[in-house]
Amino acid sequence: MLLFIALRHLRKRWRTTLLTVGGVLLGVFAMSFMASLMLGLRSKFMDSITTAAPHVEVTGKPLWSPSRLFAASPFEQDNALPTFIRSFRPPPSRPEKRLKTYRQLVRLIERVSGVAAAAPQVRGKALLVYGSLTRTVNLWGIAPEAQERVISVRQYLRDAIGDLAQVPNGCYLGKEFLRRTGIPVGAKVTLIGPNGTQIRCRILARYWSGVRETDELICIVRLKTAQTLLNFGDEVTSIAVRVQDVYRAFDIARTLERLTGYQARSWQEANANYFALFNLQDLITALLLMATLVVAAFGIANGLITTVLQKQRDIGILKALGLTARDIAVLFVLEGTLTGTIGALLAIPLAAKAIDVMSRVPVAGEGLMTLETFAMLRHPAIYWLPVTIGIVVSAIAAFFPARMAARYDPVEIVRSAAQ
Amino acid sequence: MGRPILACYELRKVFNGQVPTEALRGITLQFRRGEFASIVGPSGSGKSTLLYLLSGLDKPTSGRVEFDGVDLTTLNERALAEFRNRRMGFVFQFHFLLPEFTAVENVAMPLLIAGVNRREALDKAAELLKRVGLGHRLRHYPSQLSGGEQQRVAIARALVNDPDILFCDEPTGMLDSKNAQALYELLREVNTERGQTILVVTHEREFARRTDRIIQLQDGQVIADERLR
Repeated sequence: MLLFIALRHLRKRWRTTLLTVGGVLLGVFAMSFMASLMLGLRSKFMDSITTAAPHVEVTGKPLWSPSRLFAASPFEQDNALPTFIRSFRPPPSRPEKRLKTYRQLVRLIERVSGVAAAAPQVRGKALLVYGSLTRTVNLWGIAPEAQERVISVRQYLRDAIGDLAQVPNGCYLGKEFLRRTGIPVGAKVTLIGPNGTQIRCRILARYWSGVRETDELICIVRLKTAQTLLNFGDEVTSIAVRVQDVYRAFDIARTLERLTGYQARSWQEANANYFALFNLQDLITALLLMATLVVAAFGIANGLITTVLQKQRDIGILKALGLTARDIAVLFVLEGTLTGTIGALLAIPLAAKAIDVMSRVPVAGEGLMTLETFAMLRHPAIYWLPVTIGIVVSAIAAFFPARMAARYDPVEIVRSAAQ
Repeated sequence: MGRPILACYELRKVFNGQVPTEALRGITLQFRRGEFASIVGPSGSGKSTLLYLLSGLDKPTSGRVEFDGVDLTTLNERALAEFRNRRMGFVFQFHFLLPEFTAVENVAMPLLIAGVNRREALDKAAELLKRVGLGHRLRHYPSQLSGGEQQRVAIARALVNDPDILFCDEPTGMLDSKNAQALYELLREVNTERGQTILVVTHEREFARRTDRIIQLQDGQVIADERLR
C-alpha cells in the first residue's frame, strides 16, 4: 500500500523524479566507469609486470643492510606521519655484488615449494654502435632455454629472423629503440662493454614487452655474450624466479632470502613506487566519486524536501486516514530509495556501453606502458558495488526529508489550510 | 439509551503561544449512536479544536475523551491511527483529496491503509461512489471534478470503512448554496438509511438547524445544547 502511494507520487511528479534519477544515474555511472578504467589500467600494469619481469629476483646483495631496517618501520624515515597508503620502500640502489655459485643457487631455488623455475641473469650497461650512431643500452644476458621457463622472451619477439638459442652472436632490441633509431632487424651492430670489449651482433628480432622503459633501452643477448662484454667471468648479477602464484611472490622472496642469504625482491617490491602512485590515484578517484555521489544525494534530498513541503496537506490527510508517523517516514524513504534504485540500475547498461566503447578507443599517447587501447576492467563488482552504494546513499539521503514529513501534525495542517 | 458512542469530560485545551490561550475551558458532552449533531459558534469559539480532540487528532491539555468506552487520551500513536482508520470518518472544509489518485482510489485509500486487498477495496469504493451519485466519475482525478463532486468523494471516502462516527469540519464551507443543500441531503440520507452517527462543525446556522441537535460554543464553553428532534 505504501509502495502503491510511493509509485504514484513518483509517476505523477515525473519531472522531479526524472531529475533525481538522472543525478543518481550519473553518480553511479561515473563510479562504474572510473573504477573500470582505473582498475583496468592497474591490472594491465600488473599483468605486464608479472609476465615481463621476474616474480622474484635474487640479487648479489647480502641481507641485513641498514636500509631494510628502516623499510620495516611503519613510519617514513624523515616524516613522523604514519603512512595511510601501504607501500614498500624501494631499497636504494648500490653497486651490486655478483653471484658466483649461480648454478648451485638455481638448483637450490628450484627445489623451494611454490617456485616454478629459475634462470640466471646478467644485467649491465653497454654502448651500441651502428654506423655513426652510438647509444647506451641496458644489456640483458639470458640463458635462452632456461629463460623461457621463467619469463618468456620469445613471446615478445616481433619480426624474428633467428633465435638466441641457435645464434650465439645475436641480440634482440627493444621495439621503441629500433623505431627511434631506424635500425632494421637483421642489421649488425657493435656492442661495447665498459672496458672496451667489443662484440658484433646481428639483430634477430624486435622485442616488445609493452613496458615502455624496457622497450626503449633493452638489448637482449646470450648470458655468455653479456659476461664477456661486462668482464664478469663466470658470474651473474641475479637469478630470476618464476613462482606458481604471483600473489605469494612476496613470501617466497622471504623464504629465498633465508635460504640463500642473498636479498630477494618480489615484483611487488620492485614496483613499489608505481603501486604507491596507483594507490594515491585510486584514493583521489574515490574522493572525487564520493563528491559526485554526495551531489546526487543532495539532489534526492532536495527533491524529496520539495515534495514533502508541497505535500504537507496530503501528509495530513493520510495521517487522518490512519497512517502513523512511521508509515509516513517509510513512505518517503521508499520514494527516495526507489528513485535511487531506478537511477542506479539504469546506470548499468550505460556504463557497460561506455566501457565497451572506451575499450575500443585507440590510445594515442604513450606513457608508462604501451597500450593499444584502454584496458578496461570487466568484472561484476564494477557494477554491483557502485549500484549498492548508490541505493544506500539514496536511502540515507531520503531519511532526513522523511523524518521531517513524519513530524507534521495533521491538526496544524488542517488548521492552517482553514485559515 | 445505553452507553454513548462518544463522550468527553471536562475537556480543556490550552495553546502555548507567546500568550497562552485557553481554547476550551472544560467541556462535557455525550453523543448517542445514530445522532446527527452540529457544533456551531463564531470563529475562535473553539469548535474546530473540539472536533480534533473528539477525533483523537489532537490531545487535550486535561480531561478525557471516551470513544465507545475507550479513553482516547491513553492510546499510543499506532492505536490512535488504527482507531481513526477503522472507526472514524473525516470530511474537511477543503476537500483534501489526494491529487495523484483517481476518485475511486481516493475513496479506497482508508481500506488500503487498513490492509484490505486492492480489488475488494476498489469495488467497495466504486459502489459507494455510485451511491453518492458519482458512478460516472470513478476514474477522474480530483482536479477534473467540481467542488461539490470533490466533497461528495470526500464523504464517500469517510464512509468507506463503515465508521462509528463521521466527523465533518465545515463541510459546506467551500460550496455554493445549491451544493450545500445537496450535501445536507446526502448526509441526512446516510444518517437515516445507515443510522450513521454524524458530528458536523459549521458556522452556518441554517445548516445546523436542520440537524437533530445543536451545540453552541462560545469562548471555549458550551452555552447551549438544544435537541431539535
